[in-house]
Amino acid sequence: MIRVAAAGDLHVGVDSVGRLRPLLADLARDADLFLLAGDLTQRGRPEEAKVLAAELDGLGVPTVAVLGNHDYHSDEQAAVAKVLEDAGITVLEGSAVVLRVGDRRVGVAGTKGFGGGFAGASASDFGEPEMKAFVGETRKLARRLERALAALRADRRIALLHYSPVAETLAGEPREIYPFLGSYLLAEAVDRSGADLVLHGHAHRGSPSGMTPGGVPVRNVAVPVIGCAYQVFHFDPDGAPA
Amino acid sequence: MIEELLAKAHEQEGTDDEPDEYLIARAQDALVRDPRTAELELDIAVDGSVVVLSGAVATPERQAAVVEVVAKAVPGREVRNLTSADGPLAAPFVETLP
Repeated sequence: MIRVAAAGDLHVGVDSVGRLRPLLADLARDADLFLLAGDLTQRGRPEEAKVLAAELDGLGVPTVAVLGNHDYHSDEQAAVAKVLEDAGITVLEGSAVVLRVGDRRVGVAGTKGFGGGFAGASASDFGEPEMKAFVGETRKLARRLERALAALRADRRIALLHYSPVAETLAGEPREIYPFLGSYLLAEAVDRSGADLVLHGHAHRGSPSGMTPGGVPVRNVAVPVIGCAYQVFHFDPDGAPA
Repeated sequence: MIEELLAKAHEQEGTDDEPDEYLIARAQDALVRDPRTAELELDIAVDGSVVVLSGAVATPERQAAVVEVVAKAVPGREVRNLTSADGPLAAPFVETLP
């Protein structure tokens, strides 16, 4: 069995020292790897990333992360990622990693993703340059995700995002802000390349479960949504991968 | 002339005559901009003359700061803090997938 723990939106600040670690005491007993779905820090400061790295130090399971919008706020996202990488955490952006769990391989492709909305109510790359840039950013990240997923050779493939690929897991948020919470382009990328699971965060008032139009399960693992420090996914060893 | 009109319009800020929509927007903007909070996800409502904050924050320090930040952004208004900083439970939820 492959056991994957996941959480998003930890929002670690310099005032978070010692708060996370006790909640992760049993993580190595519960899971084979730990995935973090962005908004790791509150303001995107390297000193906040150092607090997170210390809280995760010596967990005993490989940890893979994507950044979220909060991690970009101070324009120091590269420094934030470097602090985490130096602490042994793999940070993905349009890239992928394969981890071995016993005799199985788990592939994780990740991107922060971005907004734009969902079919029937989505932004188009039309009009002002600012609007084209907004939609263009999401298209670029979705293309990279699609390529990263397609290149994965693994028994199970997981797409790790911060922004949501579907509207279903945003239910509970004001509909007016859906375009700032995710984009159908991310779901389209997943459906084109295939995956066994999509994980995201970002929507604190959202819902836990959804599915891409192509049938891939989507889970919102933002901590305020799951209500616990992390959620664990067990993959049936006899189940068929996507 | 234009300056006078603009000054008059700005005088409405922070008074009971200011529309709730603008009051909420100013409180939200302050919560996002202030480095002590940097909060985008809180709910802000106006109940009569009271500004009500709700939602979850990650630490007790941030829970205290959100009131200070909003009170400064909307002077003269009472700010009611219904936010929680309880944190998540340690016991994980487990789901089995094919």
